[in-house]
Amino acid sequence: MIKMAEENKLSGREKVQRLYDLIGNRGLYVNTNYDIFSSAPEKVNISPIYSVSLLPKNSRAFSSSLLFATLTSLLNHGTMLITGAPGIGKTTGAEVAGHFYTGVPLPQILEAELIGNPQLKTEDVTATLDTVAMVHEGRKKVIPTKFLQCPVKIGDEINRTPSDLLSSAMKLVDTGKAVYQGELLESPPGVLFATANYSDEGTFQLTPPFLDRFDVAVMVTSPPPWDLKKIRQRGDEKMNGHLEKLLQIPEELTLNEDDRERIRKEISSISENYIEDIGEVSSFADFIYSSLRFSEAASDNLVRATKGNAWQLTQDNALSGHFTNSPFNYTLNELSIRTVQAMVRYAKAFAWINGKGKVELEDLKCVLPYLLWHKIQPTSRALTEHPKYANDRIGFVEDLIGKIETEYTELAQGNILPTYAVALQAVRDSKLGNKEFDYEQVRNIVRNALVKIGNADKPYALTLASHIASEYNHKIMHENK
Amino acid sequence: MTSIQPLIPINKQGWNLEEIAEELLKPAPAPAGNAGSGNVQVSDNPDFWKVEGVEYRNGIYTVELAKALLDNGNTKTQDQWIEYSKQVKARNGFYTGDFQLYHSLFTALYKNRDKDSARQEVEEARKFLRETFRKKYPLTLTRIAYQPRGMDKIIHSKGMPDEFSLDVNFVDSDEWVKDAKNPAVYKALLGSDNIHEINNVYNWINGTDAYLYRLNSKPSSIDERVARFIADSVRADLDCDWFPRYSDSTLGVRVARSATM
Repeated sequence: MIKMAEENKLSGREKVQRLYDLIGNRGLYVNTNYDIFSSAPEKVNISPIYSVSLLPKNSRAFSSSLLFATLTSLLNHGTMLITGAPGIGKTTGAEVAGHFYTGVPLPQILEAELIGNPQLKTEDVTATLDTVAMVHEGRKKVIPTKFLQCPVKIGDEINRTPSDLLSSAMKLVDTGKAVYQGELLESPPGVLFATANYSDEGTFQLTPPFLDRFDVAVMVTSPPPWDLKKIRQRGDEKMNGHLEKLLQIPEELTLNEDDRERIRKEISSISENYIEDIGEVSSFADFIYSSLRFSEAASDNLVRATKGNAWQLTQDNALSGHFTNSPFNYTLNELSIRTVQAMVRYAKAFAWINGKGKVELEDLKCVLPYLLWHKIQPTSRALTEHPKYANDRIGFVEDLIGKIETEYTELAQGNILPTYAVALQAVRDSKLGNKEFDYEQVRNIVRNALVKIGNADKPYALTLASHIASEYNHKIMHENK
Repeated sequence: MTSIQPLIPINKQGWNLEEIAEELLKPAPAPAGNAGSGNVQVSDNPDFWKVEGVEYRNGIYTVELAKALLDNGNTKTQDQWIEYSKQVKARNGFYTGDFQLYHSLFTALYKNRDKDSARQEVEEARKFLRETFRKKYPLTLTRIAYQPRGMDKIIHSKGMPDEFSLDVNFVDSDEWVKDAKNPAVYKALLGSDNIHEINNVYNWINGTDAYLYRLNSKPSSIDERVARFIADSVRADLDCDWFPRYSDSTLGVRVARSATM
């Protein structure tokens, strides 16, 4: 009997997949606006502008809001921003996902929820002083807030609070630690969901550093009309509905901390394809980072020619530069290290939920728009070329990634990579095959390679050339010791 | 050994890395095509103009431009001019040059057009070039191999011992040179990305702005075209769209290296 029970035990992935389906089937979060596909769908044009997607066999389609709520709930200190119009289930989705994937009862999640308002204080976020203990016992005692203690943290309508007031909350979420009255407080591992309505007269602009702390963001769209029937079937809580019953987690699907830890291990251990020790997925993520990092407006010194240094003259107000068609012209800011780390993490998580043993470039491309759209600020050129990108920032990022991928393919198929490879190998080994190079020969190879690569006249060529120079200089310094 | 690794995966199959290393071991090339230093000397001879101090590729050259078209103005395909050039070059005769060499020569002439010692010779050469561009459409030993994917290949001195090629994204719409979208194209084609100067050179020769003709979209398979000069009263064309099977006349040059830059 015990053996039978063991055999019937579901894996962590199976539990997560079934919970995902169960949330939809129970009508708790219904949205069949499928916008993410485990395999590239067939696009069928149904008007001069619009197309619909048809799923290939043996593939899965997801609604981005529930998918990322699921994946983020499984990570340690995951952060997710949920935006959209009022009244379409942003908060409900977060509450339900938080409950089902962490096992925290919904009432506990609701008690800990922060409601955005302009008067929000540190005491609402991190802790308060126990005044009774101070008066009667004469000692300082810090009481952490329920928000801090709850593994599922929800900041509802977060943009009704000025960003600077939220910074302490975000630091807490990022690191799991907060300091109040000189006392270090630790929050349990968990997830933070923040919801934000689109701007209105009562909202504040969320600042780029604040937005950067969210690993992922989704734009929730209202459910399509064919989902309304399912939502009605759920029951109406205002008419003796039976929400408690719907929130019950079947025992066989319950995820405990061991399950979640194992899931994180499984996600973490998913590997990518390597070509001579270079990962395909992580190197493409790095190429995206590099492509958006460069700024001609920032400086004529290549070291300082980054978007982070374009603080006065930006890609928006500088005169047209030399590299007019490169992707970097379409963003005002660059990507943070936090974002680059999230890229591979979420690509692996997406591959994992789809039951794949390896993470591939397609997995990364599926999740990328949701990791970047809330962080990347389009230039006025981007919005002039496509005014709808002012609304559809996910579309903007998809287009931008397409441009970057074109350059990546151009680089991969062009002729400068062998030169780059030879120069790096000469620097690393001072030999190639049986031929050994002396100091002067290595330097000559490097110098010639730099010129040849530079002749490609592309920002990515500048990066490759700079890399060779950096490695060469590093080696020279090392040899000097 | 340090852990130096490339930034992106490199499929080394099909590449002879040792050959590439040999190439990279050669003395570093200097920027090409910034012709026309202050030391240019232009002198007249019965059969050619001699221009000393032309900056071309990685050195200073003396370039002689024949006053008559090669082979009495007969027309040949590029492949036939290659064979012809190989033979006459071996006998120190005039042969067909590539776009970079011609442009370096034209630029040197242009920059010295007002020099008292050379004014007459330079003007005679200009008239000859204008006439040839407008009536004979001289082709060159530059060939463009348009690629279906990735960068296109510009091959200079095609078929000659000093043949070399440069990779650039060449396919694009035709354009007035003064409105150039990508100076790298001109760097690869002419050896110079000084767009203003390039246009001035051809405007000086023909009295019109320069215009670039090329393939406007990626071919389905490698498509090779020949580069030649054409001009009329409207524009001076850098025609990179001409078919290798057609015949044209060509300008004769003879080159001797003077110094390394």
